[in-house]
Amino acid sequence: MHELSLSQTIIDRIRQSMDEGDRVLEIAMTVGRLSCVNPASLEFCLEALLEEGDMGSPEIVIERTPALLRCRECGTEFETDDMYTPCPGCGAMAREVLSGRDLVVDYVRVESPD
Amino acid sequence: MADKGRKVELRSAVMKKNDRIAGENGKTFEEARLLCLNLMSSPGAGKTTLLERLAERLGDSLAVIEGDVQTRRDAERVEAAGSFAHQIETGGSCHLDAEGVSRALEEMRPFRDTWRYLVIENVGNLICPSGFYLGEHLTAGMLSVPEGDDKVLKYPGLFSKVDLMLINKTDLEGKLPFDARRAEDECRSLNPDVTVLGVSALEGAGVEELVCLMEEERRKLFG
Repeated sequence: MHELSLSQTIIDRIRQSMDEGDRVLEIAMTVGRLSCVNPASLEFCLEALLEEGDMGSPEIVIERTPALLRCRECGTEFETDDMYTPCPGCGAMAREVLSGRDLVVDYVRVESPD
Repeated sequence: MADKGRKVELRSAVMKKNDRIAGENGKTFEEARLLCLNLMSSPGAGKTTLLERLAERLGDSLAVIEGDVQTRRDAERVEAAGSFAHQIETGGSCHLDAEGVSRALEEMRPFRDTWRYLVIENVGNLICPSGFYLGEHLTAGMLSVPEGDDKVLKYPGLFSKVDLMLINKTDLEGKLPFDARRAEDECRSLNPDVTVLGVSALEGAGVEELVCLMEEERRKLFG
């Protein structure tokens, strides 16, 4: 499952932003509704990888956000949680996805050793 | 929690990194004047058999990147049929990503002057590959007759965004309960601009139409 490789990418990114010896207290992420990411699997894989590492046992906070689409027929922008919703303006199905496909690591909270 | 430690803002978008690399792949395709098609389907739908037909038809104007978890089987089939093939073995990943394709492109250099088309046969999977842009010009989702005509709405991530839906194994239509009109209508309900093409990779039906489509798309890009 690719939540595992995504988790490794996230941990590598976090490590780049930390000083050596820091512990991670919190990881805050946003998962778009149209991403191929299952938040529960992501949390599971992150915890599994973190257990084997030296970054501590941070709290993992995952917020799901709706996708923002723009109708290609009438230009209406609307939020949705799936690809089945027709345009609320004209009912068309042709659209472009403005956001909602990504996984964003928003911030980490870290603590340096005493 | 909020008062302990220090907050480090990252705003690191994982897919953005993939999309940036995909953009670089796209520039590589432009410079080499290659029309790139990303071909996706479940395992066994017939992607490699279709590529064998394309290889027989296009010969050294076609280059293929094969993506599988393991083995060079598919690359060997395409090579035997007459086209260049580079195999990516993901070792476990269920999809190709832009970085993997970027590495493959470097390993394929120098590109042959004869190449006009690059088809990327993605890992067999109806879900994850559609979430990873590779830099391609065209995407194709293949559904085969034995899989059933009810699969399009079950896998909207893929079928809502492909340029081309290929219905393969049309030679079995009379023998299995498959309603091609239903599959096409459901795809159009998600994706009104999709082009739908019925093919039989085994018997060759529809292959010439696919080649014409690829030639036309390449002409639109490169003249």
